[in-house]
Amino acid sequence: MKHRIILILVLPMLIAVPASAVDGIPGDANGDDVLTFSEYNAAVLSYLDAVYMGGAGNLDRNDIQDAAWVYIHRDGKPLVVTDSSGRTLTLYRPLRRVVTFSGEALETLRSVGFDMEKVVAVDKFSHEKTTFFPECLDKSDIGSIWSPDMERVVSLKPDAVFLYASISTSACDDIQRRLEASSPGIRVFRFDCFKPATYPEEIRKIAMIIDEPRQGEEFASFYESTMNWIRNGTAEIPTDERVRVYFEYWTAYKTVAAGSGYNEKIEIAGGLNPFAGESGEYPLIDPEAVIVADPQVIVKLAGQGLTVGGYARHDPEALAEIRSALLERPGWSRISAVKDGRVYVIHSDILGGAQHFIGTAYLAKWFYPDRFADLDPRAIHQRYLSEFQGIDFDLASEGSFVYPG
Amino acid sequence: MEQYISLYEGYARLKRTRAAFILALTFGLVLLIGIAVTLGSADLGIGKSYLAILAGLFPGTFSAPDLAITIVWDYRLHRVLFAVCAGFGLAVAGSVMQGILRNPLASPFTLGIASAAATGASIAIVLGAGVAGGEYLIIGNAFLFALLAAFGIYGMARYRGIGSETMVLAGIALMYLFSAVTSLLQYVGSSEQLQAVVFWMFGSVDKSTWPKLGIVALVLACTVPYLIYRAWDLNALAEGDEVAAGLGVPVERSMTVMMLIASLITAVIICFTGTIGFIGLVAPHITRMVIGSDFRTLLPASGLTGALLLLAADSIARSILAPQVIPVGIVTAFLGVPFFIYLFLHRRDA
Repeated sequence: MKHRIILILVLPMLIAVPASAVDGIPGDANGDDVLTFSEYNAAVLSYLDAVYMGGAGNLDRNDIQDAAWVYIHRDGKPLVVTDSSGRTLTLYRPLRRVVTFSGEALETLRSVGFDMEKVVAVDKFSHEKTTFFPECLDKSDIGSIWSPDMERVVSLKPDAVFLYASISTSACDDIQRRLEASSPGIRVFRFDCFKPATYPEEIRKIAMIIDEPRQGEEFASFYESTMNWIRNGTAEIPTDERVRVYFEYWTAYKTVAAGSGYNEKIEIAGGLNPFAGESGEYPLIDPEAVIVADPQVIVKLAGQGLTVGGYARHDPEALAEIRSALLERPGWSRISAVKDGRVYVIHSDILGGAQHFIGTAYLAKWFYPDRFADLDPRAIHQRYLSEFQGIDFDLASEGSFVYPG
Repeated sequence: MEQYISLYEGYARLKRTRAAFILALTFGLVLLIGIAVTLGSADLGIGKSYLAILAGLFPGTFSAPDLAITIVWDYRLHRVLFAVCAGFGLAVAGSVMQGILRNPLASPFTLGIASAAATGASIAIVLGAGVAGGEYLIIGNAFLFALLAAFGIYGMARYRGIGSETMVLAGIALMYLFSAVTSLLQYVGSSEQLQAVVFWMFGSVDKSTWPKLGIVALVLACTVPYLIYRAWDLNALAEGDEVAAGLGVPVERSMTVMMLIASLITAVIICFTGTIGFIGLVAPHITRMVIGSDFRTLLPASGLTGALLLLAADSIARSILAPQVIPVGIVTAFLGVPFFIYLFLHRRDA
């Protein structure tokens, strides 16, 4: 009876204070945030003593594994990382249980070689992408940043959670606040993972967090080599020689303006968007204005929901149908892009998100076929999937991303 | 005798007011159509725009640049006429509903017909097939659900014994139900789908085409003359079911037929435009404040008011931030509400 009362009293305390709450490297006996060789040795011995000889050591198996990890990968020192929100976080242990609210962060984790077994829960959109994230099918679904299942997140006892840094900030801030209040010691990382300007740095930081700097460097270089190829190839084109591009969003006559991610990619690829100066990121345009602007290239975004193409389906016919519907629009036969056959359909899977460099490569190739004769976006895409994502996906027979391709 | 003369004179004056109002509206509408066809991002100017119209009508006699003809005929004309028809239809449907239900708040929106259409469209957008053929799926679904709501209201009202209060109440209940379904769909949908639904619910005449204009015009041509022909029944019904019955109007049948016609008009229009709010509610009120509530003139006059209001709103929507287009539903409210309040404050007696 007495034991039971003690148990009832102690249990809530155990739940309230998870192991990770106690900051500091396990085994760091003098608490100076450096795990020396002798401290590490002492910790291992004390653990063995406790397990096999009935000694009084207070480190468990996870602690010892974490100590070994920190000693080997981080020279026995805590890891200090500044995320994209500018917050500096200190990691005393390796990540064991990760929750991602951002599919882009999840994808980047996979790119830099994170053991996906350690991801315990993902957002609902990644959960639904069964072809691209097959391993997420049996992971927990924690909803989206707009309607997060906080109970589930907290009950999974993650030691790190990934959120967006600069979009939906109020929703992400709120999730972060609630997590930090309910789970002391939790590390909330804020990374975007879809912006060309910050992505390379984010790749390296995420690789550092998971102690895979080599893989991170390799992937960041691969990403940078593609983007720099495009940037260098278009840098010296004067404004009046740039290709005029009309980019259309999912909805008819909804285009993109300065400030939107798609416009940034058009600009990197050397395109000139006649509607870049409109207000708002996705302005709706008078159909007449498109004819008057007479674009030289037209790019239409496909992928309403998950119903056409992308990783989910191999249906080039559907993309072809979208293209032919564009050509049939009244008066479009007089637009240069239509006359020259330079109307393209691209799926949002490779133009938004972490794979924007693949889509941008396609844009560059479409805008300046001569300048980028050697650029092979499909090969880049395939290499990304096979080498960095490690998924068995053959672009020749699976998925539909561009048309004509 | 004197009293008879003053009554006669009063009626004559009212008739004059009505004639003047309708004349002014017609004139205003024609003028606005004339202006609207010259508005657009392609800077055609008045001369070229009209030349293009004439060249399209009489290809042999007149000639205009190909580009101008394409822009005017393929983009502007049907849009302008569609705005006229849609505004006309929504306003007529609104007056009929307000008249039958003797409720100033009755309109396709407060009766749940518009929210039903939005639900239908959302189902098509969120759960339906892809972009290819998607447009017709959305239109069909919106139409079907709008009619479903109309029959639903009618069925409920009939079950409880038909009465104007019952119908309004049933309509409001349905509106909440359909709004909830739409919200649920938005909740489960992806962010792109969510955007498409929100966009649909803004309402706009962007998606107008000649065939769509043809359908709406045909429905109006078939229904509006009948409604005007039965205007006396509406006048009688407005005095109360008992009065109408006393005057020999088959109350229940008239209400049913008229409600269904009004619903049909609404459904046909909003399945193409999305929820253009407000016209159906405010145009009849504005008209009634000016010329009174005799349905013989109220119906065509509020139709003209609605047409004028929607066309004006659309012209502003596509020229104020050109080449950007603002959803017309937003402009309608900005334009209609102040005007409505002005009339309301200055003509309290009406």
